[in-house]
Amino acid sequence: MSQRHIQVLPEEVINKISAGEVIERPASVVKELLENSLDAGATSVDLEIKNGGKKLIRITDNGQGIPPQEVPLAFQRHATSKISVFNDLDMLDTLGFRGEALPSIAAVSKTTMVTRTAEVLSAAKLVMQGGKVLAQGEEGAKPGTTVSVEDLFANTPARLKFLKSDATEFSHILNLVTELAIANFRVAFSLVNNDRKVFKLAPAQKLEERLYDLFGRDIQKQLLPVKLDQKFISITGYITAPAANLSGRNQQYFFVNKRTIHHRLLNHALTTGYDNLLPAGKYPAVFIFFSINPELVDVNVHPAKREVRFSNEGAIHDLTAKAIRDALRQPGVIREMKDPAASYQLPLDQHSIPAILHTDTAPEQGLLSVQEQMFLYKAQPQETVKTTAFGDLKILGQADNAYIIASSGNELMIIDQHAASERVMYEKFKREFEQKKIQSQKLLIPITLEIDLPSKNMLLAHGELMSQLGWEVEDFGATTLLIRALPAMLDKAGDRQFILDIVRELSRLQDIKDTPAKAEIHQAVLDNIFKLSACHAAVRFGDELQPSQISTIINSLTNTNNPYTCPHGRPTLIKLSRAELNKRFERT
Amino acid sequence: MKIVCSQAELLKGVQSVQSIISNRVSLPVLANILLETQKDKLKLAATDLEVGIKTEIPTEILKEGSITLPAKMLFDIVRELPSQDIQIEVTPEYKVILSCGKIVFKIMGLPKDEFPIIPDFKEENAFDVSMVTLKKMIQKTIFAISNDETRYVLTGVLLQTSNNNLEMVATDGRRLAYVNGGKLNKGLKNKLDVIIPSKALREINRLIGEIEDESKTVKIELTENQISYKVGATILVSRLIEGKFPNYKQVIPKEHSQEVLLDTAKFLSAIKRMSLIAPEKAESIKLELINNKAIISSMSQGLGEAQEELEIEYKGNKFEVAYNPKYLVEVLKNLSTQNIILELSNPMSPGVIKPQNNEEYLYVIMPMRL
Repeated sequence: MSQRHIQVLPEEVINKISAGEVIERPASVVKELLENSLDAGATSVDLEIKNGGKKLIRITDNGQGIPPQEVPLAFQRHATSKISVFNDLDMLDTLGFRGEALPSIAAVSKTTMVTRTAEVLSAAKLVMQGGKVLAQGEEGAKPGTTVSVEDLFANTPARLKFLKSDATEFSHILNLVTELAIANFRVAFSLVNNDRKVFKLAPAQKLEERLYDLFGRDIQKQLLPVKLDQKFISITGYITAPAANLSGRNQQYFFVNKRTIHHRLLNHALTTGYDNLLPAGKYPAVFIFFSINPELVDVNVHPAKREVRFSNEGAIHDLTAKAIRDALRQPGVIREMKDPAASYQLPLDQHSIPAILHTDTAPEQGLLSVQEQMFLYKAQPQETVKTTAFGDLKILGQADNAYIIASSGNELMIIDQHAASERVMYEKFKREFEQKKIQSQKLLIPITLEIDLPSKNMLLAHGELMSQLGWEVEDFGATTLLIRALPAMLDKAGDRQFILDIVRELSRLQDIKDTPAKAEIHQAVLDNIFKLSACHAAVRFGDELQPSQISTIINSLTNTNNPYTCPHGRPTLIKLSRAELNKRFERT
Repeated sequence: MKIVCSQAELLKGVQSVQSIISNRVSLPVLANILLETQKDKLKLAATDLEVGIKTEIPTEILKEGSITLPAKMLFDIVRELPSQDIQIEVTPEYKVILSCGKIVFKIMGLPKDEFPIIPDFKEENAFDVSMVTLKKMIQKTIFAISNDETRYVLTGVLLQTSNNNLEMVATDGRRLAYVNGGKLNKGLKNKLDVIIPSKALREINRLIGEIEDESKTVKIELTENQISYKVGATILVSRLIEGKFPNYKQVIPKEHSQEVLLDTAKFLSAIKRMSLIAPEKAESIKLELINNKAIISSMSQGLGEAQEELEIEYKGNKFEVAYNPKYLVEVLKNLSTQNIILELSNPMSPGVIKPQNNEEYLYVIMPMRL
């Protein structure tokens, strides 16, 4: 066995190793370069992406540029203009500081930098490949810096293999640019993907203008300002009113001294602040900026700088929760919340009692022959489930526009009209999808929907699947989506929440390319979309039903594979036996 | 308040206003009818805050005043009273003593303080429309409105004037109904362009009732955000839907490649028969044109299939298109002409249904994906 000697690694190997920490994927390159541009005082940044950033990332800014003699230095490890002594770390006001980014990027791609300061007449140009200088020279350019990163990871095939599809990588980039565009709303941003304009954001005077451009008019109406000022910390920004809740955390942005961060502490503070104003599984959109004395927050935790450490976590948590509570206490916010119990109340004043039970005036039409079926019996949650058969089902009417009341033999059936209809719609949707013939209704007047860019991007990226699901969606510029056709089962379509719920499901398809459970996840996503669609296609709790509608629902329900529960597992009907009724009326 | 009126008049009055009251009221007083003396008349009013309605009946006034009473109970009581004079007296504690011969009811009322004010009708800005025409226009469009609250402007009917013609348009984004009611007898100062909520149209339809006399008219007055109708002594006031109705002219096809003449009643019954096999919502029926035949068919998974042929004059190429049967049934049952013309251009673009020899009506329908 030959002797292995300890040796100092050559610079390019060090850079390749270190690149692994800082540069994980194209979005990391975009992050480092964008932060450099912003630190250089740019007021306008143009970004061009090709093939999810694998082929090309080009960033052009109008920042202060780098003096010609310092250009080669920029590509050396730990060379930075942002700090000079360790103590400076405590007083950081720039986004970058470690001096690792450019050399790391140059080590794993072909990187071209063209930069010019206002003082000199021509721009300095430097081309690096695999960490080595390929060419150096001068060329004409406007003041500012352009960095082009081509063929990322071409020389590290192992890393290239781990990248996801172009669409997924691009969505990471889009999320990142969105974060920075929010934090730096005064800066103009443009983003071009595969020669197609994704957005062009004009410089904004106020944060809300930028949010409007990114997330559409609808969100803007829901924004509530957050403001809290203390000696060492100030919290500003916006949250959305509880009525505007979303299904995921994907529109929650926290910035500490303008740096995007993710911290479980803040998620918890958010939940505490909203208290019980949000339904389970629903989240508000949040854009909160912390301005903290740099001495009290450590950003040097991880090279990607997405984590921070607060010197007093308890105080940050409590102050954040307080700021949110205060924002929600503004007039007009809580009033919109409906008392969930109110919708279940029966009107009990004397003159409305006859209206509670609409009796079918032609009882012979209400008689339905239903083959013998086993049904769940569930009068009280703690009681054991027993099954029993029933014969002819007689529909007695609809109670409170919510339940169908029927009798069968000596038993009383109470059917949850929404749950029953939901089960029918779910199986229909699923069956039609499997037969590739979901009925789709074209629209005479297409629906335009205001939607945030990442969501719109997601829907357009899955155009094929959406079409199989009965939808035709098109890009209508800016934050607008055009719906040209929709599943015929849906009476309503402009429901933003529904579309966003579909987006959330689709987003789960993004990162499953190499997962072994790919097929299962795909199936689960489809199933959830069927459930969502069924919920929207079904008759509502509160809809008044015609006798013919009631018989259609009951007939179709008995033909489903599982008539006993709705697709979410709740029971579709309960049964009260004569014995049970007698007991309740104390007829012993 | 103390008044005397006839049972028949009071019943008629209560009947005209009570149907507007919603089953779920947000304020107790909204479940009530307002009774108020006004000169020598008794004014009756009800509202659901969206639509307000008031009427007046001849009364003998013994003492002026007002009270509100639960609508349903008042209606049930008055309906069951013999046709004699009824006396209504209100005590200072808002107890109402309603007597008719030897029958006495004592019921609790609510003061009128909280009852919303329904604006008066100003005759000077009003224009007249024949009741028969208005009823026909409502009937031919109202079924096409949307019930989707997210497309709020489509939940009403557009009422507009164009060259002094009164027009109505309704659409739910999938089909569209247009009707031209002819020239107004009086030129309007401003062009009319408002969206009327469906409830107001249903109510006006009900108030007009069955009528064949062409000379009877409804007076209509428009303010910035309200429309008022006057039918006899009854006034109906509704807020308007704010917003801009879509440019419907854009979606009416200008050209077509196929044109077929169909017997309205036969086409309607064929569609109804074919949809028996597809009772659930969102099932389509297929229309196939080939060799002097229109073949209407439907198919439903697990239930079966059906087909019916109609004889038509058609020499063109084979043409197939699918529609939601509901959208065809609703228009056909509201058309009274013997025949309709169906204009088509391709299976993915809108089709047009027109009554034969009638330029006043058209219906645009969007197909389903085949």
